[in-house]
Amino acid sequence: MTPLTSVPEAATEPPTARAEAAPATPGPSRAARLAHGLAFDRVGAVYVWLGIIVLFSLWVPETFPNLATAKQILNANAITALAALAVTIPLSARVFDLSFAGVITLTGVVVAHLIAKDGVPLVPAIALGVLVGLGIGLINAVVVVVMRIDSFIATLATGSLIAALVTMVTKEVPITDAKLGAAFANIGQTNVDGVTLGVLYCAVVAVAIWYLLEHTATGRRLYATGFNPDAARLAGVRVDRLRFLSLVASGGLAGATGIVLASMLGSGSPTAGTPYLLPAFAAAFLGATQLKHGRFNAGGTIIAVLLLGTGVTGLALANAPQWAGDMFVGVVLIAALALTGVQRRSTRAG
Amino acid sequence: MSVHRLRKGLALVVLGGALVAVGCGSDDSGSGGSSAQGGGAGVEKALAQAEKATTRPTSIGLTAGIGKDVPAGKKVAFISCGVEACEIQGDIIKQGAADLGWTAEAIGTDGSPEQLQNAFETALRQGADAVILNAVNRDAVAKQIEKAEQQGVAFVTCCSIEAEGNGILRNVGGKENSARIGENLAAQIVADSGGEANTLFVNISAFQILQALAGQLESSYKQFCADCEYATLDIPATSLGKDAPDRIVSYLRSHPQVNYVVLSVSNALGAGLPAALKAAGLADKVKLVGQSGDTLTFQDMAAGNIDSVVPFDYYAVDYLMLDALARHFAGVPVEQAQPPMWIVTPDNMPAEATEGLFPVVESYRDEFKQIWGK
Repeated sequence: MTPLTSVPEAATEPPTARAEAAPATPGPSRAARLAHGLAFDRVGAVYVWLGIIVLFSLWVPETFPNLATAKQILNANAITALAALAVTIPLSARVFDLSFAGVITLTGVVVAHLIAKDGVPLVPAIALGVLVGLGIGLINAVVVVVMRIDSFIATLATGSLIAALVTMVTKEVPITDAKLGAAFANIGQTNVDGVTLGVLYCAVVAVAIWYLLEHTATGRRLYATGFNPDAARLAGVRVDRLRFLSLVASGGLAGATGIVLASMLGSGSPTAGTPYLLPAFAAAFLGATQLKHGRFNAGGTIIAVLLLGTGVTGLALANAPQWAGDMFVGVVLIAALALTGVQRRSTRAG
Repeated sequence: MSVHRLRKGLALVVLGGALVAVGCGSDDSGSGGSSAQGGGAGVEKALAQAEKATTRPTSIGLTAGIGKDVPAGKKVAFISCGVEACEIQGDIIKQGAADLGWTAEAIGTDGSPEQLQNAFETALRQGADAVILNAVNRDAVAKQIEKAEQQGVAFVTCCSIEAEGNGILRNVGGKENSARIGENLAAQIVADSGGEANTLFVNISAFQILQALAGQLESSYKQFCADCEYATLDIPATSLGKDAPDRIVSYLRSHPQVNYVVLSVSNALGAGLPAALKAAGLADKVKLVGQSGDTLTFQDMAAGNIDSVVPFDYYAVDYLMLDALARHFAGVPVEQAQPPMWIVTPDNMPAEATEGLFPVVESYRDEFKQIWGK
């Protein structure tokens, strides 16, 4: 077990990290650590985010700089954040899960169908919904890990199977029923002082993933698997098992996300998850440029979601035209990645 | 280092430029009152019209019998367009075809032009006597429409902006119907507000049929209430089911004086909206009205979240399309009847609205059967 911590670290951490680990060398000062932590190449998106907050505070001072806007941004982006966190886990092990949007849709319609059409009580219905998500994750894992099919193609294929299942369950018609308006709606629609429960779920999941990736051996093995699977395997990491479990976890989390989304919508929509495919990956990839130098991580993902969400909400409050939100997301992604890359090259050069 | 600085500067300029461009394109298409009927008279007129529109129709409004025998055994192909409305219509068309002594088959598609063309070709190859395709875009299936006309296959549609003729036998619920809905919604808002409305029309610009509704809504609204404020918010189709509620909430937060929101497609725009309004503390400040709701819309209405809706009467629209085909095959002129118009409110909402689709005119089937001599 011991090789797991040393080899991946040596393989993935920059030289400075190894130097920090050497016992004979005195550690960097607190100020140096702080400066390192706040360096532009580590948290460039945070600076862009702050810049955007300042910009919109000046642009729409009546409506933007207040608590209501903060709550709105949190509420509006909870599902995107959950979806992005769901893909962060397999991405850490360098595995794509393109089927997660389909899983979001599928579990939403399955739970809605169980409650509305089959009369299944709430808790068993939710449990079955999560099991469906885990089941899809299991299928993904078998196809990718056992059958050795590239995850990008494999999860596209399972996504197509999921679409067929969604049509089978819904006949392309949203599942609506008064039964979905009671306790089920409370799962996603309940708000505490204007903040919906979706935000709370997101916070819990983000902390859990942060702990997993940053403070457990499993997290380090996941990163090792993602950065150099061959080296990780030689170091004794069970690469296949980790990839297998990461896809199962992604399926389960996407499944839970789908249930929350269905609750927020008050129906099982056959297209509910589709719009989250690109935003979730955009947030995960942008998040990977933050905090951890190219590693997919929960904190960076949340920062990315908030950065993009703040801009989109700010533009809406400023009555920007309908194309502005998409343009903003595209431009910010390019700008943030470019700024981070330039800064990183500058640091290495200088 | 200078190259790095240049690149960094360029990236910042790109970001800043984009935001400036966005700012220059700000889209607050509001319009205040203009010259039109003054408050009292306009409101009175709106009240009268709203009262009529909120009364449930008891007749489909089509009385002219066909007067000739409708040939039996016709085969109707219904091309499903991949969205909820099309799926729902398939069963109704099958029922109506059976009432005429015909058969109907649904051909599934995902709504893409390629699949629609393929489905149309399939219908023609299978020997259909008539083809039904909702909201047709003539350009997308121009060759197939032409081919159908050459083969003597009748083609009808609904809810399309295309003109009748040149292969389109009938377009039920087209622009005229949309305009009628807009006029009645305007009356309802002005009447309900007593001439104190400040209205936001939430449009989905990708749905061209809504242009007629939007145009008539604004025009009638100003006629009924010159001093009432009116604005439009365009929602991209890509926002449906995702951030549409957030966009509406943002607009309402930046325009706190708005007290009516018109949802151009209630079911598409309303999903998740009541919860978003509640979380933002806006639920009690605005009234939601709209058209084309589904079961969820009426459940929201029952819960007090939606004020009034003009339902899309699938039953009347589908039977009117079949009526056009029946008249065509019987050799009599096609009637230009429109689907019945009804504004549903919490006070007049039928109990079945929260459980599934319902016909606006309860006796629609009997009436059509009588007209068809069945």
